[in-house]
Amino acid sequence: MTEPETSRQPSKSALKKAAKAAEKAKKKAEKSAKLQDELQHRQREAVDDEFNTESYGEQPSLQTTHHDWVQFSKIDKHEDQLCIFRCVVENARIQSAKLVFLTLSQGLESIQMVVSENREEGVSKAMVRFAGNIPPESVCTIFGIVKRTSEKIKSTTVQGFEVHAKKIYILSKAQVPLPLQPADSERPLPLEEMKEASGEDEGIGGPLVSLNTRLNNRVLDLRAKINHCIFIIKDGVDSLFQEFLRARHFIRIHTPKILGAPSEGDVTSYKILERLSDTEAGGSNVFRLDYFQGTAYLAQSPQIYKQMAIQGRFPRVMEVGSVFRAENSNTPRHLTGMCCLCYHETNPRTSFPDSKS
Amino acid sequence: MTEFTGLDMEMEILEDYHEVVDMLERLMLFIFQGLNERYAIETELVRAVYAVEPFKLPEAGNVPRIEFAEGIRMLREAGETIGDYDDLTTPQEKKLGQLVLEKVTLT
Repeated sequence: MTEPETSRQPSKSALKKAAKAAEKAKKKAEKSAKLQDELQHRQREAVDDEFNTESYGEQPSLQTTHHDWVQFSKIDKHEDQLCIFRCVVENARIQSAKLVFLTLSQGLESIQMVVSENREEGVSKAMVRFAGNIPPESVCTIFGIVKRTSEKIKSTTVQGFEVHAKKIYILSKAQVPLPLQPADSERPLPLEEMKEASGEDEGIGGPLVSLNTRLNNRVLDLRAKINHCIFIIKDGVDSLFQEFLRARHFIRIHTPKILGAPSEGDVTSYKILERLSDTEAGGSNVFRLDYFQGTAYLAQSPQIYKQMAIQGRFPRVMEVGSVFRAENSNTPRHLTGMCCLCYHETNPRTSFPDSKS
Repeated sequence: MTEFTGLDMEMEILEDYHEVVDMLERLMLFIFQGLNERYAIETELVRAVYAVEPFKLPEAGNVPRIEFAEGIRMLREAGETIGDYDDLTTPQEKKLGQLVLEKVTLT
């Protein structure tokens, strides 16, 4: 831009004005140059984006195709093969504009995925950028080649292999930020005494998530690996209990849980309780509930039914089921609802039942 | 019944609900074949009291599948009045079961 020539001697204010105009013009030029730059950059990116946009996105381009979905636990059978995974993105670590590492998980298993710009392989810079911005906990469909790693990867359960991304589709994008990170639920709840003793909550390596937050977002809380383990172990106890007893000719029965009379103890107490008034019976540790026109009680124990089964010449019975106790005590030993594992067998000498629960 | 034991399952779907149908189909075959193989004596004793036809079990993979629209069509042909997207009533479910059984035994 050139200043317009003035024949007359310019006044002070005119000089000022001219300087201002020059400044303005300069700024404008800068701005337009910047815009131009940005535009070019965008165009470059658009070209980049255009190249292989099929390889990533939020809408998977797959209909029902009956893929052979691969589990991370069996990945060693797929070395150097192109595999298809359904998994959750645990986290994304951006190394550069051309390289991103993702941790993918399937239940308790996790694996590292490399998203590295490679035009020949069909991985664009835009795809790398897309991968780096996948919010944690999003469910994805991944196409990738399984590669053996030269060094063990310490941060994942699959340590000898990684996945080199070919295609990434987000199936269900996670909210950002989440009310809690599943990893936060993997730290123990602080015990009151310990907190007082140490005098601080910090230093555990992350924010403390209160029990309320966990329970208000139980689905996210359940995603924590420790919660998976707890449920798997509980199922294991249930299954081992049955396996052991079934092998010894116990049969599993299902006894009623809604009863016409409180269930505690043996036949005599059952009979006594039956004669008690509603308030008296309900006053003990049983839950009462309306049963159409009458009153019913929740089972406190399957005892009476197991004993009936034994008297009915079932030699051995077992039950895994819920029982309910109106225990108004806030301790881990007094629960209002629980799952009871119990068994009953005939004592051959007395022909009266022995019971264990 | 105000109280009963439910056998429930729930599973993640990778592509579509046919995965659940596949699972249930194999589960049912497993149960009925298992009853035939492991509980034959008990089944015979019950049969001596209650007339129950022996299980007619197709081979795995050959279990007939009838699409909902096809089921509705079959019911209409049998004289039932039912809308395209109506839930089946219990009698209609039973009737459809009977129709399917007839169709399958014929072919």
